[in-house]
Amino acid sequence: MMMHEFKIAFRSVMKNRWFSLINVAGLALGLAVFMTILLWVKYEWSYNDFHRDGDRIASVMTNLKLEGGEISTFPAVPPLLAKALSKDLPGIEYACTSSWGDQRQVSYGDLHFMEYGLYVSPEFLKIFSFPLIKGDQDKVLTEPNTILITEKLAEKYFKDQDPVGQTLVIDQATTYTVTGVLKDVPRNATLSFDFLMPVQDYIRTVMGGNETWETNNMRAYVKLHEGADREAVARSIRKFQDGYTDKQPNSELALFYLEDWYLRMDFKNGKYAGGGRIADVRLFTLIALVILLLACINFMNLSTAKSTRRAREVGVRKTIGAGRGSLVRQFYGESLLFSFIAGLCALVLVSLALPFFNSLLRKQIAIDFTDPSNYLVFAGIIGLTGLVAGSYPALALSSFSPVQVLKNHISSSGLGFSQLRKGLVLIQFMVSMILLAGTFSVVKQLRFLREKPLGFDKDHLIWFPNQIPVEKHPAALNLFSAIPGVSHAALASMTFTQSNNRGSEVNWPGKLPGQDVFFSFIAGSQEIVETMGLTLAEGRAFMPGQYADTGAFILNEEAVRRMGLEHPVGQILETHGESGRIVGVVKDFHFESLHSPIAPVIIMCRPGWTWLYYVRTTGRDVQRVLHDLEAAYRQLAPGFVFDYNFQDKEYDRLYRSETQMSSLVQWSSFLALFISGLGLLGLTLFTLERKTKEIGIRKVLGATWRDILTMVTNEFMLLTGLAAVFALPLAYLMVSQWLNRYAFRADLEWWIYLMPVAITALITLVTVGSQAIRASAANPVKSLRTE
Amino acid sequence: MIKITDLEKTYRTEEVETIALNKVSFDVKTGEFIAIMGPSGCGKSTLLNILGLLDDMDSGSYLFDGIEVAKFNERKRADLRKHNIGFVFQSFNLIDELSVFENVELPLIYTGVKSDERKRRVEEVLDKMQIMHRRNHFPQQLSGGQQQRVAVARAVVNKPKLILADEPTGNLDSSNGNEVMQLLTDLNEQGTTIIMVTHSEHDARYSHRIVRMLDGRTVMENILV
Repeated sequence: MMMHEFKIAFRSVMKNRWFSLINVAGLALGLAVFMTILLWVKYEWSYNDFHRDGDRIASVMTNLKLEGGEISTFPAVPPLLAKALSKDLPGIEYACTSSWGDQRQVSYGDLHFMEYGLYVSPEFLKIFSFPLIKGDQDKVLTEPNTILITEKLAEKYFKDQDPVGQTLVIDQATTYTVTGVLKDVPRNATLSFDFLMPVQDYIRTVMGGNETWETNNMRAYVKLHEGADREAVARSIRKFQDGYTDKQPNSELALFYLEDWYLRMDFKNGKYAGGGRIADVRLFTLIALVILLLACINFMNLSTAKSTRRAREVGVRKTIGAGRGSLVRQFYGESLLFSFIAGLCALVLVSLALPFFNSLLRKQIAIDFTDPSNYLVFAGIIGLTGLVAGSYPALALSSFSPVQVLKNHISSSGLGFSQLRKGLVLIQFMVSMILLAGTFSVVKQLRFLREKPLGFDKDHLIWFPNQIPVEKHPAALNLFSAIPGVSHAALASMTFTQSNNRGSEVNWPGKLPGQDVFFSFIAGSQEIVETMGLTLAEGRAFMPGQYADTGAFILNEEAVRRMGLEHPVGQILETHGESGRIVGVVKDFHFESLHSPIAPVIIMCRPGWTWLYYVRTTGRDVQRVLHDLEAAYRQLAPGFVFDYNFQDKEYDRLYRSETQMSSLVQWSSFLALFISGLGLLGLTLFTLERKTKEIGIRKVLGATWRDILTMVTNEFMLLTGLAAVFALPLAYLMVSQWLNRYAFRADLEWWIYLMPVAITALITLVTVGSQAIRASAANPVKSLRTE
Repeated sequence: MIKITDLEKTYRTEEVETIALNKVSFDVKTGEFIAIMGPSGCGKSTLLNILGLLDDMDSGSYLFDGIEVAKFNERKRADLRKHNIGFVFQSFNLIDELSVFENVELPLIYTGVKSDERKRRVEEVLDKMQIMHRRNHFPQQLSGGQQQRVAVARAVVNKPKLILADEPTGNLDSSNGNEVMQLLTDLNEQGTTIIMVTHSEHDARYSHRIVRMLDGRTVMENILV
């Protein structure tokens, strides 16, 4: 029986080659998109899954209550917290302190490279699963000036030598002894590094031994005891630090578990706000399902279009004794066969597309052919697709009454199939329009983000980490500024893409009790306002000159507004334990991604608190300027690597995720449109085949090709219009919801919504019209004789 | 073998109600060859479809071998059909994607006959219908007469008690038509009961009895000897 049904299915495929090709191509493409996105989703979900006991690992977060009751959530905690947690908080098995991540120059002989690493306490390796290949687990990270490196670094610096016991020079200053080698950190890790050093070194050298409860400037991670009650730990950690300090009355602590780090990093008022990467994962899972559904709709559509042909076969089979069950099985068999062939084609397509996809998303996604569960998932997808795609044909075709079909009293239009097909095409048009509207909106918003005036000039701006000794800073600034093609140079404490120093410990005249404003602090040299291209709103910039204005402040307009200062210039401000005069106010500028509103900023004239140089060029002869800058830098900081970055590229990195998502949306829309187009083409071919006689008669009676074109395309154009009526409000809602994640949004003009309709209509017109014209050109005598 | 009593069937659309069969009653004995005649639309094909359990009746009784089958569900109908009834249609109704052999084999597949036995029986019947040399051809490669012979072969391969033929020569020239009628006569002589709907007085003369219908009723019976 099976063989018999397979034979029929195979012959049916061969007999209707074009139909079959369209069907398999659409289904294969749909499956390929679905599988690729599914692989990406699996990859996204796999982040941090290599850590054993991941459900017991968490990062400690601070919830800081601000003015107006708003709560800001961030991962900075006091350096003393971790020790106290492991000692005094029931339920905590291990707690560790960690730095934020540091770029350090690592040297070995003639080898000098910038590497990224963390300063951590020894418990770090007990909390996380970063296997130590060489070294003593109980001793590493306990001694000062010792370092753990990854295999990658071991190979890079020591080749075949045993790294343990070797020494590396960090920042051309301190010698560190390698005490162990760690396995390379997997790509799907949120917490990544090339080396680890003892946190005590950081506290001693960077923080000047100042380990306090008052400042939130370190990170802390904990591992709960097995079986510990998360709720109980959450309750007891909330006010934990109140037992150690009274300087943080507005702060509470919370745990942010490892499983959420990658996908659910989105807080509002101290709670998870429902966003993060998970929103993209959900969106694209939905898009993948929708595209697969489009392909299934094609299959259903073409199968029901073919129903008049299959009806007689069903009638004959029923007459000679076939039960409905066997017919249902037969049609499901056919759709499963199609689905299987399409699945194999899809696998090939996915394998071909993955390198492109990986470079687009900067991922390393691969199909693991050795994992048996992948085969099961593949079989599941194929099976489900076959069943969904085959459901309507199987159930509808098998229900034909043999008497009706054998007497030719049945037609596909007479069975309600015509309405069904129209409904399915309507859905395809709607999905295409929504995806297109989404694409245009995403592209428009991205362009808006890239082109929105930031309040400072991000172009022609170069920055590089500073290793020049403090006493040489004035000379360095002079030297850099003197290079032809350089207009300004300044020192700064952040890259103007992400705030790294925030706090509310600021006093100003007229500050009300409880008026806690959460400021972002930027330290810089005297030249910072001109170099960054900030615009003065009031007062003046810092005065040029070695010691002029040191300790003075410049605020942004938002800071002035939040502080409630009417005449800020000349007022005295206290922060970071020191006081100084406000010399000017700059217009608001974006120093973070446009997801966030503009924060109040205090720019401090503190050249000694900086760690990077900004150099503004004229934009001409950049290579030569870079060469001269490097020469000057090497002269001032011999032995250090000149590791420069362009500010505009740095800024683009802020929207890397959006750019990647935009590319994904664009490809998804294109493929959805293509699949819908394929279905439309197939359906048009069948519609015209059914209308061959009608077209012949009309031509005999005097119809022109235009009349025929109008007759055939009208129906589809009407569907396009109807789809627009349903799709546009939906698209508007979805786009609005997506835009809500940005504090600053592009204005979406009418064309964003009308273009998708126009494109869908055009594709319909071209697809249907070209076939209609071809049909109208046929000799009517021939078509009538055929009929 | 067949006893129908007061059989009624009405087709309804939104605007029109057409009485296809109006209290039709008649018997068919085992081994009989009956021709049903009448003008177009008199209900003869409807009657044949109901006899073949392809269509439902609105009211009345239908005894097949003494069993009331009027209320049979779809599964029981399919079961009764595949074991007892063979169909021959005016338009042959062969499946285009299957070869001659496979078309004839189909009823045996549905009755679960094993592959070897199927092959033997299909070849036997193809031989008898003198179409063996075309066993691997597809329907569209055959003449009308050959296609109808394949259709008859398919109808008889399961050795049904009853063959229902709906204008079996309607699409054939007289020579091929006569051949098909001779085939049916031979089958009848071998014991198969045949009920045939026809417009042709010539074909009807092959039967034992002619039932004439008009406006959904049987109006006359001619017994031919």
